[in-house]
Amino acid sequence: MLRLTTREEERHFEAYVEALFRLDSYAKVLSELGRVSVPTPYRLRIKVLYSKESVKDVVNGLVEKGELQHLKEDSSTYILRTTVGRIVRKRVRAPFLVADFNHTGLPENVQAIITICRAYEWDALRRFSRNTYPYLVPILLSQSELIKSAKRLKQVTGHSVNVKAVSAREAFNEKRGEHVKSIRMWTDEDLDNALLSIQDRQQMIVSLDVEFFPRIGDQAHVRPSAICKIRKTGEIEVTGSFELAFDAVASQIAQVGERKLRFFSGRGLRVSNYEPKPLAVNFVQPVFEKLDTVRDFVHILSKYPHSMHAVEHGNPYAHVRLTDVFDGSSFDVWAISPSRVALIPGLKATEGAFERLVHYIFDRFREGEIANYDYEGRALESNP
Amino acid sequence: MTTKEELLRATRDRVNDYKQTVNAILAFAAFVVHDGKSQRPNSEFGFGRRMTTSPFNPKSPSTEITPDLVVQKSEKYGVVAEAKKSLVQNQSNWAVHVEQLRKYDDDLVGWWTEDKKITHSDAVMLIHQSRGRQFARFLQNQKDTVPDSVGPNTCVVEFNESEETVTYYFFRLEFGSIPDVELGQVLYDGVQVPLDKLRMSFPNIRYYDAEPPMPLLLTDLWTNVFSAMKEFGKYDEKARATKIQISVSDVTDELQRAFGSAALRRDDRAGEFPKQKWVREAFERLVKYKLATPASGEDGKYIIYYKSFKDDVLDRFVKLEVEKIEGKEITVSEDQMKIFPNLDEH
Repeated sequence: MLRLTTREEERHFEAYVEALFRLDSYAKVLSELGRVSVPTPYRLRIKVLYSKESVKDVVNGLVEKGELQHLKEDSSTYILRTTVGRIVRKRVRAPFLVADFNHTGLPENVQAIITICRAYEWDALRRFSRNTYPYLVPILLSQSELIKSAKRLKQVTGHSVNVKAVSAREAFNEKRGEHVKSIRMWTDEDLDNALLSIQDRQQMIVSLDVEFFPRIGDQAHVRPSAICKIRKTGEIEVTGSFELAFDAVASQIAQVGERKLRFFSGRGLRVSNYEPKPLAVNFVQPVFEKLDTVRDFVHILSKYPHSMHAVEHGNPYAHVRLTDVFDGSSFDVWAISPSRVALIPGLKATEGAFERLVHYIFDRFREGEIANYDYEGRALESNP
Repeated sequence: MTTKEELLRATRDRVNDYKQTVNAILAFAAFVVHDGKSQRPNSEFGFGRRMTTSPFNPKSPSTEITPDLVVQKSEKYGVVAEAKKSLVQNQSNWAVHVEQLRKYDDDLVGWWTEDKKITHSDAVMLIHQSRGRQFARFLQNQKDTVPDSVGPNTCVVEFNESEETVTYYFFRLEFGSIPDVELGQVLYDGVQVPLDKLRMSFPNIRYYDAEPPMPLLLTDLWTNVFSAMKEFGKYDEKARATKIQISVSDVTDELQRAFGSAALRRDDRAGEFPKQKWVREAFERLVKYKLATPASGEDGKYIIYYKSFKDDVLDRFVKLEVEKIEGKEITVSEDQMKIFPNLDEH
């Protein structure tokens, strides 16, 4: 679809989008989202969110507080009106739908917000959702979850899936030590080959742009039916088929996230009636054999954003207390085995705080397998 | 005279000593009750358990004692232990420990058996390796001088936290003998208990029946207890902090359930820790640091001015503790400094 070139065209399109979100039923809005053709610089965007109860209930609560307005209550559509920009102030109107995944059997505490907007409006909406943490928790995908989810898309959709572009971070060594650079690569590889080369180069994916080509037998179409940019933060930017993006990609993220957050839930001592339910991050290879690595780990933990820390032990093993200042959750993080980190929840330890901490360790230190920290060691992977 | 840095280091050492003592007691208990595969039948352990001495006890007949650790391997064998991470250099002060062991070396009542008695028990001094041999020699000298000053079933087991890639607690018998065939030879040769397995079994135990150093207790309160109560508080613009009203008894109860005595098996002889008195002292300390005020007209209730700290919370409370000592114009001589880490003796 062509780019809109004048402000007049943009105003018309925005009015059309707002009319779409004002349709008088949830089903009609979903159906129209499937039909609408979205011109550049607008994008259809989805963000999968988790909440203790229902995402919709949290959003309705924000309407009551006056932080949002309903567009059409029966359709579960809303509008965020705010201003952005420090030097040049811009008014933002971001309409959105809160959509559920009932068709996949997922509970109401995992839902998605769907909008059609430009980048800065999306940023405003993301900032707004970030500010509602811990009531709304983003789904944060690990590299392995992102890769597994992307691979599953081939089976789920029956399409050929190609990687169009990758945003990643890659470590490199300089005289002054190890640094990390951001990279953006364009490619036209089959998904499996692209993922293989990413793993070979030990790159940390930030987002994947994948194209879905309809396929009959071995023959794939030359034009993709959808292009999705999938971010590790549970966000999807869609060009083309909305149904494909929502039913396949967003549903896949929602399932992975729901399973993970359910695994993390109920572990704080107060909610577990003081029965300890710690977690472990297990690494395939021993990683804490050198003292430098233990020190690095302690340093990384002490830089955990929005937290308080207390280093109780830093040599030869690590023991750091971390308190999440967003919601008061606390954890004792132990590195006492060469190939394991133990995360021992304190009096309060919400699933959102657990997810944030695990994601930080995966992102800044290295990824491992999540499991219960006990003699049985049941892994998240085996969680139904 | 000593420097502030030395005081800071000494205070920090006291925190480490306390934590190592908790780990050592837990590890020794695990060694006795666990056979490497599973927990032994009829095995139990408790910290600060109330035991009753016999009428024939040479030091305190028919009285209640609370050893740091009481661990029952079976209905026939158990150990009563006192733990010391450090001892003062001056050996003339060690006699008190010998006397304590003499009290424990008795036909005690309070075991987890039907008649509360056990066929055989040993009184063990669980002591850090740095003082193990010296204390064993001291005990031998005492025994040689006054034979009844050391009981027939008194032992010294030294411990150490290994500084290897995998962290272990190492135990070795240095004095006396352990008649139990399964434990005796192993302890004589030396045995390692991995800290990882220990934490897996007891992830939350942070206290035992001895008062923790104040910075450690304050860190736990600030980073774990108060943080979890912040949502019930009210933000005070003027103080730039969240005011949380809290009671000493509620906090004590929660600390016991989460990290202390109630996280272990409880019965009518079980010790209770952390104690209300320690928590009250911690709150009073926060009042001195201007981080709390007593709630007006309500005894045992305080208003905490809770805010997040950017620097290391334990370091902050260690520094405040040292400043408190300095504020009292306490000066510590070099000789005293040598023993300062040992002020946590219990």
